[in-house]
Amino acid sequence: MHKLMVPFGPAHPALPEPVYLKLFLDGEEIEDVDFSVGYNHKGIEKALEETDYFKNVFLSGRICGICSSAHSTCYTLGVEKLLNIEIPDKAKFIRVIVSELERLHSHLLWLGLLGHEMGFDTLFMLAFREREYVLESLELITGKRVVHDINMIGGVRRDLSHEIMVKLVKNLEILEGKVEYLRKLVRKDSLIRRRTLRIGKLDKRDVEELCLVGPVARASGVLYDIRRADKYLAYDDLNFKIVTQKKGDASARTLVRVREMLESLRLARLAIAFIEPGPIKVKPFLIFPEKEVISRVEAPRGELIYYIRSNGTDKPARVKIRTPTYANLISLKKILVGHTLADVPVAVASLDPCLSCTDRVTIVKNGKEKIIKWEDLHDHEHH
Amino acid sequence: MELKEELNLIGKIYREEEKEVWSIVPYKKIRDVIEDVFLSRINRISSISGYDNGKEIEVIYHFVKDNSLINIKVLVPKKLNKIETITDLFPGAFLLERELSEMLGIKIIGHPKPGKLFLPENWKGKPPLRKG
Amino acid sequence: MIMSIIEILFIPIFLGFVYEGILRKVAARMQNRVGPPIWQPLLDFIKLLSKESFEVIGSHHFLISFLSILAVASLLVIVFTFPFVSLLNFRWDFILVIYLLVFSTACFILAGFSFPSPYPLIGSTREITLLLAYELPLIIILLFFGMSYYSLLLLPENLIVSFPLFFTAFLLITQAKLGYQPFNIGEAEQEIVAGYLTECSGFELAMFNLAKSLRMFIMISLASILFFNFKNIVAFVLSSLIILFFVILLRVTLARFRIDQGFKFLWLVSIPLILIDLIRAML
Repeated sequence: MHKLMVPFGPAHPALPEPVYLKLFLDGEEIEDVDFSVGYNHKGIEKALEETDYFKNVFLSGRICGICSSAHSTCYTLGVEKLLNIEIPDKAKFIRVIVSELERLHSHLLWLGLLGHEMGFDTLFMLAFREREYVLESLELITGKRVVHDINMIGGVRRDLSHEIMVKLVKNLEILEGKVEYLRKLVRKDSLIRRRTLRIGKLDKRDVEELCLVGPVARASGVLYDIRRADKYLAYDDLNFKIVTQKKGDASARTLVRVREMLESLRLARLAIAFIEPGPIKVKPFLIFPEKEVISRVEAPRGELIYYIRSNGTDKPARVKIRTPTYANLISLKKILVGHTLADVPVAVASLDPCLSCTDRVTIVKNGKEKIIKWEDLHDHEHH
Repeated sequence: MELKEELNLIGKIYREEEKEVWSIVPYKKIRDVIEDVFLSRINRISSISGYDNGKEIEVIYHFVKDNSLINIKVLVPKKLNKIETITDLFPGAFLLERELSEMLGIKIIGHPKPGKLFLPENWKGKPPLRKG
Repeated sequence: MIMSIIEILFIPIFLGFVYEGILRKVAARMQNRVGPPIWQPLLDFIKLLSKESFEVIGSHHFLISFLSILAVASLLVIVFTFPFVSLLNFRWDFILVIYLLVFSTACFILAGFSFPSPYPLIGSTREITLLLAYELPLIIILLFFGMSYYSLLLLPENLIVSFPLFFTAFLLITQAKLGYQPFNIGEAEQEIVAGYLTECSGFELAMFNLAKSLRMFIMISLASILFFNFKNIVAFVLSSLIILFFVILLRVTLARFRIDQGFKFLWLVSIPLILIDLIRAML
């Protein structure tokens, strides 16, 4: 019998983004969970249908602030598949470097948030301090820290000069030491272990049944990474390890992400070494055949999949995006039931939820409870 | 893969690439096909896409098996506007079907918890991704 | 006379704010940040007094304001009894100190219970649980000193040398009583917004924050008086700062316990420490 319903969200200090979790408690123990999403709904899928393919590259990069390049790369790969374009090697390596640096910054941000959820705000400060190196590196390459906009249909927007590469390698070396320290910290600190061991356990069967993706799946022993499966961009040439753990609890997910950080550092350095002088883009044909394509990338949170359907015009007929957090949300009930309220922030955070990614389609609701339709939004725009 | 031959028997493979198979299945047979997919131990459902092509609603189930994608398309006539759930076989389709239902106006028969996902509960307009 | 009363009232309040300010500044520096200036808690207090109090439907605003004043008042009474402060030659009464410390915490807890919101409810429940864990060790230590030395004025200096384990346990108790990591369970920001203080605003929040600062001053000064030296003002200040530093160190380097983990830790660690020193004292 539920004694108390505690609302977690939509606005809550524990949550970086709005989601409405209804926790049904008996004392401190959680008996049932219900959730609602949609608080960050922006209308992107509809917007992508109304904008041409080239401008959409920039739009897709703004779906999420943390995995901006993952979205823009996935979209661009899809359109390049549609047009049957092969991009030059240098562009592939640059995209790999940006993607891996993005994975790094996302995991560092996540580690900081995890510390914050446990009341360990020193870890938060440490993680964000090291993240500054990553953001500086991204700024060197793309000119921007958070939303990178490095992709163009046919290649990348900016070249990588020798001086930048030298600075990058230095930053990455410094980062390796820092991330190693963080790895030792999460493995050995007894309070971190106490707060993450046996929390939010998912075994391999749960993961397969619920079709989960990303580090969450890998922490339960599922050996799957799209970089290995699809070998998109230059991942075929680059050697890396798929990191897994067996326990499937919050501590396993922490370890997976920290070790993935080290792999990302290695990949980025390897990619820099592979770069040879050459063009960074090809000019695409402007004829879009009527076709449907699927593209997938391994975003920091897991499998990101785009379905793009063209009808011969210069605007896509349909773009369907399924983000990794969307796929993993369904595990919330399994993760939380049986735990206490105190474990909710850590358990939810161990999923690394990115709700801006999840709520993509749009309905705008202003303060007076009026629902503005897409057509009305257009009218506002043209004034 | 053997599934290729099976899919070809019920539906029609209309496109095949290095790691993708696209097949179209008649509306009445879709539930049987999904059950076959499940029994042949396909890893997981990755996404469900919906598209209004004017005449009918195209619903595409994207499955993943190891390194390949198996895309199964079914055309839902607009007069009928409904399709059976697959959440009993693939629990991961829970949210995907709800989104399909609210965005394209298709009723999912047998869904354990139907209802709006992103749209507000009192949304009265037409499903946002329908054309015209 | 009036000047002295003003001194008694305001110096501890001022020092309480200074201690908290030092904690925030040093903690920030240890986290590689700049941090707020040392007088920030005082500024916060003044600003909060000028803010409006939101009347939460279902709670009695008068009751909560009154509880907040009681929390401050009970702590000020303890300050009155501090030997170097007391002009009234008030005889130090350990039992009074124990009672008033619990009383002020009870004011917080009652305020939490009087809101119809789940967050303060859970915060207060947790605080009671924690109280059951740290109050007993505190009582044992204070009663032991009370019965051994009868009056504070007869307390020998530098008792830390004879009772190091008491001191260690006292540090843990202080950390729990003040509500800092790893024991900031009643106000766990990430889970229950602000625990028992969630729905407070304006005047009562200012008062409760003042009570927290005063509590910090009292616990640290108590530790200094009991285990070090209160007759020499320089030694007193120095030892207070050392103890403050330990509080800061724990706060910065540790995550937060879950309530059951915190409860178990306090029982399983502080009680044995105290028993060992008790047995040594008897022999």
